[in-house]
Amino acid sequence: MGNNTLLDVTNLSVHFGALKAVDDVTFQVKRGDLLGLIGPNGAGKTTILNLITGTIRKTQGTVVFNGLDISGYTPDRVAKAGIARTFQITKPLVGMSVEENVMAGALFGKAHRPATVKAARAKAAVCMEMTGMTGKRDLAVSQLTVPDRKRLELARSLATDPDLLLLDEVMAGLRPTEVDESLSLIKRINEEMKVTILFIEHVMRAVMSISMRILVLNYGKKIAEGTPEVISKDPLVIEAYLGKKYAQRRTADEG
Amino acid sequence: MLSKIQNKRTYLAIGLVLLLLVLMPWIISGYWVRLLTSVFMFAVLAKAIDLMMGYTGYVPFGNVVFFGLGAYTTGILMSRGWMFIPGMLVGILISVFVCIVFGLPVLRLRGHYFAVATIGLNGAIMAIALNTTGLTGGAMGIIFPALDMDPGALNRLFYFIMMGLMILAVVINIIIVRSRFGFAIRSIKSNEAAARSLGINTTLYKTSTWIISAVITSVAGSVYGWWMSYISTVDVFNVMIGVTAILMVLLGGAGTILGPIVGAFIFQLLSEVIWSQFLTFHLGILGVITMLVILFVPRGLVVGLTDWLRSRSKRAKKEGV
Repeated sequence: MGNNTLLDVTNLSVHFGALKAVDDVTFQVKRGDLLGLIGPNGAGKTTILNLITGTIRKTQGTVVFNGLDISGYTPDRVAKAGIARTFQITKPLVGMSVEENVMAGALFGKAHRPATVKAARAKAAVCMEMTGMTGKRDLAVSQLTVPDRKRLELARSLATDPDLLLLDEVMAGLRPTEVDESLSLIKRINEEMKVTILFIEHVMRAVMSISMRILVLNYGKKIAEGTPEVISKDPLVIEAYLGKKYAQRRTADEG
Repeated sequence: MLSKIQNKRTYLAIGLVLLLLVLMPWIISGYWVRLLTSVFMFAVLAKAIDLMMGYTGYVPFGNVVFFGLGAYTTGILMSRGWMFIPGMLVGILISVFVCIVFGLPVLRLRGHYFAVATIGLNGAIMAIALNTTGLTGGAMGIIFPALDMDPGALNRLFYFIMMGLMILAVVINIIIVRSRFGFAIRSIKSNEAAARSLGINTTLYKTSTWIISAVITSVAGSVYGWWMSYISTVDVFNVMIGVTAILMVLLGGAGTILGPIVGAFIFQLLSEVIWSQFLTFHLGILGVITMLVILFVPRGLVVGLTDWLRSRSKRAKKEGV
C-alpha cells in the first residue's frame, strides 16, 4: 500500500442472512481524491459507508485508514481516526442551535487537538462561513429547510477536521440551482481545505461533473471503476442503470 | 439588549431569594426550617436526576439507590466511631463503584432499559442491606450517634448544609452545561447516532454523567441519615423518593438550571398546604395538579414562564412601534 493511499478497503463483505448486501468489494481512496460512489437503489452504497464508519459490523474484509486497521472500530473511534460523515436522512442535534451543532463537531471529531469551547466557536464560524450558514447560526434546527439541514450536516462534519469526508446523498431533494451551489461547495472543500471526499450521489449530472474517479456498485458488487468518461461508456454500468436491451442496442449502434 | 436586562433582573431576583433563604431560619419556626431543609434535599435529588434525564435523555428511575448507599455507608461507619466526612467519602466511593460496574454495560443499551434496570438495581441493593443484618442492622435500621446541640442550632446546621449542597449542585450543573462535556451529553440526548459519528464515546459520557449524579445523590443520602439520626431500608431505598424527584423535574422543567429546584419548592410546599387541608386525599389532589401541569406546560413551569414572558415582551414591542 503506497503512502498515497488514504483508505484501503479489501474484500469487504456483509451478509444479512442470505442477502449479500456488500459482496467482496475492494477499492482504494487516494489522498486528495474526489471519488463518486454510484449504483442503483439497493446496490449497497450506504451500507459501505456504514461499514467504513463502524455503524454496521462487517462479515469479512478489512478497512485500513491512514495505515491503521479500523475494521471493527466503533463509530466514535472511526471519527477520532479522522473520518467524518453526513447522513442520507439528516441527523441534526435537535434542541441545539445551528452554531451549537457545528461547535459539537469542532469540540470532538478527530482526536488530539485542543478543543476548548472558545476555539470550537471560532472553528464553527469558519465552517458556517464556508457552507453559507453564518446568517442562520442562532436558528433552531427545527426552523431549517431541507437544503439548510444538508448544509448544516456538511458544516458539522467539516468542523471535526476530517482527513476523509463521506457524503451520503447531500444533493438529494435539492433544486438544480441548489445542486450547483452544493457542487461548487464540495469542490472547494476538496481543493481548498484539502479534504479527501468519497460521496454517494444519485444526481448523475453532479457525479459526472466533479468526480475524479467513479466507483459503481450493483447488487453489492463492484462492477466498474474509473474516470467519468470511462464509466459513462461502460456496458455493465449502462446495463445496471438502463437495462440489458438498452446496453445491447447501444453497443450495436456504436459497433 | 433586552435579554441582558432580563439577565440582570434574573440575577437580582436569585440573589434576593438566596438572601431571604439565609435569613429564614431566624424568622420561621423549627417546623418550617425542617420542611425547607427537606425541600433543599429534594431539590438536590431532582438536580442529580435532571443531569441524566434532562441532559443525556436517560431517566434514572432508581437513582435513590445512591441515596440509600450514601446513608447506609455513612451510618454503618459513624455507628462504629467514624467521623461524618470520611463516612460520606466512603459512601461516594461505593456509589461510584456501583455506577461503573452497573452503568458501563447497561448504558450501552439505548432506550428505556436503563430506567427499568436502575429500579432493579435499587431493589437488589436494598435486599442486600436488609439481609446483611450483622453489618446493617437488617430491618432494625441504623442509629447515628446523636449530635450534642440544641434543637434550634441542629435545625439550622442541616438547613445550611442542605442549602449548600443545593447551590453546589446548581454550580456543577452550570459548569457542565458550558463545557465540552456538556456539549457531549446534550448531543447524546439530541441524536445518539449523530453524536457517535462526531467522535463522542456515548457510553463513556453517559456513565460519567451518571457518576456525577450518583455522587451528588450519595452525599444527600449521607447528610439525610445524619440529620434524621435513624435510617431503615424501606426509608432510604424507597423508590418513591426518586419518583417524587422526577415529578419535580417535570414540574419545573427538565434540562434547565433552575427548573428542578423550582419544581421541588412548588411540589413540596403545595404538598404541605394540601396535606394540611385535605388529610385523606392529598396525594390524589397533588397527582391531578401534576398531571395538569404536564398536560398544559409539558416542558415545565420554568420553560413555560420564560416562553410566555418572551412572547409578551415581543408583543409589547410590536404594539409600542
